[in-house]
Amino acid sequence: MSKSLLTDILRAIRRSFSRFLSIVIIVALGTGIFVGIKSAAPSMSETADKYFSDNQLMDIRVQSSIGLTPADVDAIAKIDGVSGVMGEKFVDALVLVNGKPEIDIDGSQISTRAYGINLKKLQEHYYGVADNNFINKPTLIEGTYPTKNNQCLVDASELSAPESYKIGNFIKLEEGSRSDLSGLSVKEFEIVGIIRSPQYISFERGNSLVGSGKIGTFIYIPDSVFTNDYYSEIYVTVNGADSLEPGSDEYYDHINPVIEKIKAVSDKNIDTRVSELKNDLPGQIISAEKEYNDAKNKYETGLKEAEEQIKLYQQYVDDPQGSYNDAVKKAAEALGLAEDEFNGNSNAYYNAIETYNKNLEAYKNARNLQTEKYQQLTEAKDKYNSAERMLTTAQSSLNTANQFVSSTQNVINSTSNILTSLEDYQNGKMDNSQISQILSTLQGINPDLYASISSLSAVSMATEAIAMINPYLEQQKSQLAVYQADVEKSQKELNNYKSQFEQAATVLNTAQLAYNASEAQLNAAYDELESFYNKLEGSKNELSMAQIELMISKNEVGNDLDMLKSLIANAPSYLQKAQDEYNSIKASGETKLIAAENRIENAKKLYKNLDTAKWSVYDRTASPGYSGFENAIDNIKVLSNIFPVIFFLVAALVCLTTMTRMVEEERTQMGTMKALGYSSASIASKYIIYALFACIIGSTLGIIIGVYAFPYAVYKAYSIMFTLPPLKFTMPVPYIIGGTIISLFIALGATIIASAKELKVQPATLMRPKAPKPGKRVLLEKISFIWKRLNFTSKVTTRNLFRRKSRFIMTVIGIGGCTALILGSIGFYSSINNLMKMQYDENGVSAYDVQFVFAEKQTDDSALMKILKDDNRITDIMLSSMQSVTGGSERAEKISDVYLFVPKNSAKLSSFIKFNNRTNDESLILDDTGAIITEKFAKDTDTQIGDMVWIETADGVTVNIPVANITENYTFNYIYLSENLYQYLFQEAVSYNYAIGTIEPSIMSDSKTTNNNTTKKAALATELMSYDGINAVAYVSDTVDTLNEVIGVLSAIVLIFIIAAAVLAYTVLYNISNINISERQRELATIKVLGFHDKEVSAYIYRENIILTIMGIALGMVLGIFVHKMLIIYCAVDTVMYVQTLSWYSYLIAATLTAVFAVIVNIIMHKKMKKIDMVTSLKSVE
Amino acid sequence: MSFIELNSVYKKYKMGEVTINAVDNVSFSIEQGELCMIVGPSGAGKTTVLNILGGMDECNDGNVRVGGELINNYPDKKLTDYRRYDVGFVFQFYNLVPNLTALENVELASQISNKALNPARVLEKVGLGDRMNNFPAQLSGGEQQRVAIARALAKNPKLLLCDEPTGALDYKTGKQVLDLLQQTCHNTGMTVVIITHNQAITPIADRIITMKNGRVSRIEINETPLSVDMIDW
Repeated sequence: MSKSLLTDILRAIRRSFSRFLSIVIIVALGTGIFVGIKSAAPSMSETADKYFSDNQLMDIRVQSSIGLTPADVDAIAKIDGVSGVMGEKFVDALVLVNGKPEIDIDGSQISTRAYGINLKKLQEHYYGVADNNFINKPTLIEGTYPTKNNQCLVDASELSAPESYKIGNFIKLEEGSRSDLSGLSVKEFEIVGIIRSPQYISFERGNSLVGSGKIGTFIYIPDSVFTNDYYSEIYVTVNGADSLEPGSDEYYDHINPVIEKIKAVSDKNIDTRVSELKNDLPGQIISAEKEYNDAKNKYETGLKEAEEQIKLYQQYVDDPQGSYNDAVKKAAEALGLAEDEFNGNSNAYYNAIETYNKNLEAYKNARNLQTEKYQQLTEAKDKYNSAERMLTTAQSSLNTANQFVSSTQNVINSTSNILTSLEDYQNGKMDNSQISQILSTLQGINPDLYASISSLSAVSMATEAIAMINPYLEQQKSQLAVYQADVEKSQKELNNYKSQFEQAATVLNTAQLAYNASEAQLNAAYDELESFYNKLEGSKNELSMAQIELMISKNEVGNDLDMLKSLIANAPSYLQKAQDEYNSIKASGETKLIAAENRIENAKKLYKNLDTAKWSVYDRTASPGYSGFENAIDNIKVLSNIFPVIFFLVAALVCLTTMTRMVEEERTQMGTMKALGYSSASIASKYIIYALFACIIGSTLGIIIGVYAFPYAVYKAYSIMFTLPPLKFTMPVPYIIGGTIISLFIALGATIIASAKELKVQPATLMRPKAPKPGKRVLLEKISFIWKRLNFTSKVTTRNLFRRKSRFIMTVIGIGGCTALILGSIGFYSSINNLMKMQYDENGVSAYDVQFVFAEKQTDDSALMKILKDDNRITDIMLSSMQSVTGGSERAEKISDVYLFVPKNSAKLSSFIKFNNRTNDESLILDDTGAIITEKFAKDTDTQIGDMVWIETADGVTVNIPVANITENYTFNYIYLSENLYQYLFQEAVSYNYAIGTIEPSIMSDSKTTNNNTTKKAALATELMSYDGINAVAYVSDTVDTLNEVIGVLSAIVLIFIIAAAVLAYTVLYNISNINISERQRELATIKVLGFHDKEVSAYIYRENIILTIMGIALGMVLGIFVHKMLIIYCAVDTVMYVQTLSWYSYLIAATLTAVFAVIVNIIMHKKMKKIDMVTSLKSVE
Repeated sequence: MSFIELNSVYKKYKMGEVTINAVDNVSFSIEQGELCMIVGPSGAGKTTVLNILGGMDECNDGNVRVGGELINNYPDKKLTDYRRYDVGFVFQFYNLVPNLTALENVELASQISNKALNPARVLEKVGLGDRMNNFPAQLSGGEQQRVAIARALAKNPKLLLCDEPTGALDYKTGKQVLDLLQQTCHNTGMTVVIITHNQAITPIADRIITMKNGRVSRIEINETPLSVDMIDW
């Protein structure tokens, strides 16, 4: 490419930027929509795929009616092909958030499934530890993982989780009817984190026996709070499954053998479990019964107390004055009694004082007597004592005298002895030594004498000694006599004193006796006095007590009366409180009792059903919302085949007209170049490169925006229904290449066509201004009566329109495409809306309001049915049988899910379900000649009246059924069979486990919440659910609500299409107007000079736009019908038959929106036309 | 007071740094009913004067009076009305709407005028009574210019402005057109201003204004205008 060529192209782009831009935009739109919509489905599917394998979504789920044990987990783990196994415990319960019940979308109290999760595994998962046996890992979106027993994680779904599921709030699990929380050690949890779980990708949460019958949300609580030892479910992953595309046939082919193997091991494991339970259950039942009785007693007492309160307050309310007066009277009586008692006490007290005083006197007398006697005694004692002393003295004197006598006698004796000895000595009868020895005894008697004797010589000695001793002896003898006289005297004295003493002793004795007597008398008097004193004190106490009591009673009576006054004044509110109390005791007690009863019932039932225990083994499709997601992806795939076509077609036309105009404008230049010797190819290369630039920029832009924006928007729309991780964009390389090639082909093709035409002519011709296209008469002119009536602008418009056919076609198709897109998508939206109406509205097919699913089969006069029939809120009810089967025919390959419906009473069926032939509007009646099948099923199986269809039940029974009629029906497939025909075909009795009913309209229409924050409808459902034997109560209106949510999603997608349509319409109209203006600049300038006002000038061009728009809209209406049909055919959900007719307002909306886009473009163009310089009209023709 | 009065009119164009005075202090007046020719070489500023006079362009300075009204101060809307009711314009390249027949082209003008003449009769007057339903492409240059004149006349304007009306025509048809313009002027008393670079045709005018380099170099009153037959070029 030469530099000058490039410069020329760049200048051309700058000069005609809006033209360049329109090619860029339309190419961007075409490529963007193509690539974007094509990559939406793969992006979504890969996002989900990655999510499932990252979080190890289970491939298989095992349930058992009797719970599963660790042994079961082990058994499954050993199965060949199993990669990971995890036992899971959960409970279903009602939820209180921060103490308040939460309400589900349908108005019933929300129920939750609380899964146990291993905190350690969770932490490991957080730190990235791989663990094959940790299945269905949650992803933390906000907050933290729990670390304590009383913390939990909650559901992040926008649709299902209540707004109060916020970090820091508290969730309390409550027992609803049939939920059993006895296996939980903790029931209140703080929300610490918000998570999404791969197990719940959809807003659908599945069913439960708690509350209204469906699970509202789920939470994760620490598994350590579960006290029971069995698992609710076992999750299994299969080796190599996560490398396969979820939902693909290869995937299911890979999973199914493992499912079969699991089923195969189930029998042995069930037997073990059953024998375990047979041992344990009876004991559990007994202890549960005991608990129940205790609770019942407590409940009844509480109720009685509350009743009394109510009675009391009721009386206050009924007769306030009387109650008060009674109370006053009673108070006065009580006070009188207290006073009487006080008086009695005071008398007793005075009597006691008197008695006491008397006794005191007696005591005093006794005391005086005793004192006197005591004195006497003392005196006698003194006398006695002195007599005793005298006696003693006399005795001792006597003794002393006696001693003197005896000692003197002894001395005399000794001395006499010595004298004798001495005489013996003298006679020689004794030798010296002997005498000395005897003499020595004298030494002890009279030493002086001894000394004198000792000094005597031996010869003289005896004589002398005798001489000496004799006097001494004589002296001693006289002394003895004296002493003997003394003794006599003392003896006399002693005798005297002795008699005196004896006298004193007698006196003392008498005094002592008298004293003792008086002492005893005093003691007796004292004792008596003391006892009377005690009595007095007692009576004093009693009196003061009586006084206090009297005072208190006086006070109390006053206070009581005051209180009573206020009680009576506020009696109505107290009564209300008492009644509330009563009600709350009653309600909570009842639910508790019911729950306890249920627990017992469940255990009993479990025990009873042990022999029929069975494992259910499911793949992912059984999980709620899973197949919905697969459907959604398929739908987008279909849409991606329809819409890009329109955009590419318009893109081709826009490129063609734009390039044609460009080539026309530059024909002089082309001629000059040709004349200068440039080849046609090199001249054309300018335009080709120009278009290439636009195309490359446009498709790049389109791819960038489309690849991200489209999947994002679609995903965002679906995120209302599905809780999935943020979209993972995939580069759809084949589509990017494909889209680019298509746009290149379109842009270059258009350019080559446009330039080839001009380049064929001679340069000289090119250099001359192109002979203006001769004005041509249009067909309309021949109809002169119309033509005459047209003014000039109309005439110009009409002729202009038909002058440039390609432009005309482009505009009409572009606008038509816009209208068609809007009409198709809005129509699709309203078709679903309509089918909802035709199925569920007042005059719709389903005239029933509610469906009941029973736990066991019922008869028309079974107890449960009687209760339901007698309930006047249920206006009508019919017992039926409903089972989900698969059905098909030999004429078609398609196999559908069908409900086999057998009414107990065929004749009555028409008041619940409208049977109607849609084509001839004839009412149909179900009889024994054949089944009535629904239209969609008939179509899918290519069935006419009189043909046969086959069905296969869940138990594997296959039956051929003759078709007697085909009825109008829009949602789900049904086969209606009469009881007799069923019994004939199946050779067995019908098991009526289901009923449909109608509800009092005032209840159904009550959308306002009454007290307790629930609708009447929800309250009724909750009440009905509490009946034993009802497994589910499902309102038709809930189905409608859910379907409406889906419609909400569709409306977002419709919006995307409307935006795309708007861009399309805008580009086309802008382009056409732009070309028109640039081409007719001279003409516009001229009419401006002629004095046309700005508005008139604009109208001159507008008229064309308006007519083109109208024609485009008209075309769009026709195209839209096809788009709509295609959408319906390709987006058809198995269970839904769409209403194929478009409503007038779909047309109106489509037309109006297109017109609005056109008006916007015209407003922009008006500004552009205002700027046209009149002076250009004077310039020569280029 | 004259019907048209220009008083010290300037029109400046800014071309980058340079300011060019396309019209540089131009003053002249034209009486009612006169056929006036503004003559000069290319770039003399005569078309700019005509544009200003026709309300298609604004002057930067000076006064422009038409019929006593000061039109250079008109707002856009009033200026459009001025063009609509008071001025008829004949272009060098006719500027007919190719998709409209001769009659319709005339009607295009007459339908917006409040005192319009009958389009068919005007066409007859310019000698195209039998070509009325032809499209411009089916007409010769002279015929097309006559349709253009008819279109200007049908509005019954006070002032007819013609920009090189014969510029794209051959000698013979040019003469016819000039004759038509002179007749119109003399018969209806309409003021006609013709711009031309062709000095040879000026003798048919009542007043000749010669311009050079944006200035009026000469104003000549021709007491005895020649008929078109008399001139030659």
